[in-house]
Amino acid sequence: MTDPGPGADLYHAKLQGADLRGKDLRGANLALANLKDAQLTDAILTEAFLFGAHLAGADLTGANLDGADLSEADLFGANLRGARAEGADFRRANLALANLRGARLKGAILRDANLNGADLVDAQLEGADLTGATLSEGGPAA
Amino acid sequence: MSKMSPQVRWLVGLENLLRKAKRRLRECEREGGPAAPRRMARYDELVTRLTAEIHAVDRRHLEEYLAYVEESLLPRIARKADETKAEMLELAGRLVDAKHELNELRGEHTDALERVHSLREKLGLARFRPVEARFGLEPHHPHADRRTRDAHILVREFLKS
Repeated sequence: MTDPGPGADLYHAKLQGADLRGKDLRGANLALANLKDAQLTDAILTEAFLFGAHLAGADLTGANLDGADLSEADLFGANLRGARAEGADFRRANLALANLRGARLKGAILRDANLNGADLVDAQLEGADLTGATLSEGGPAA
Repeated sequence: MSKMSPQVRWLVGLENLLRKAKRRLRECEREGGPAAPRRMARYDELVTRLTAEIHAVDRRHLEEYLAYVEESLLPRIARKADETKAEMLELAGRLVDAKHELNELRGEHTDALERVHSLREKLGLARFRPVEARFGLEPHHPHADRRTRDAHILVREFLKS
């Protein structure tokens, strides 16, 4: 695979466990991509299209997801600690047991998302839409 | 449920994703906003790609998928529809019962009123009848409650005298 860059077309790509740390993937099409356990620390994913992407267990620490579309994505147990996702769309995404500690989620759409057991300590949720989201206790202690 | 081959499971997955992508496309259209055209273009492309993937699936697997839909999915949906219909019929039945009960209560109320009038006549209180008319107690008169109370006081005083 060639080194992916901004606007890359990675539709349905098999990137399980891939090392994409610090990569610039702004505006990339990653719809339905398999990014399970991928290393996406500090990656730039602004305005990226991640509809239905498999991101379970992925490390998105410090990644920039501003304005990205992550609707229907599976982020089960993903690490989004300190990530930016302002105005990002997480509707119907699975964020169960995800680490969202200190994540910037201002104006994010979390409609009907599964946030059961997610760690939202210090997460910035001003203006976020949590309509229909499920959020139960059971996440890691503060 | 018939056992699905991995290819058919893949096809079912694609169908589900296509349904979800179409739903998102409709949402983008409905929600509008400056980013809507770009988002819609993305979902349009996604729908096209998913449709192409589904069409590219081997005919043999499509036949297997069709069998799955016919043998497993359709009966399940039909069963669910039957259950819903039965539930609605049960609710309709309960509504009819409630209406009957209401009518019976109305009948009892009318009988009781007739007995009251009859007793009044026997007690020589017919000239006070109807109390409502005498005291201007139209059913929805704003002072109906107060006037009812006043009327009852007058009747009691008459009975005492």
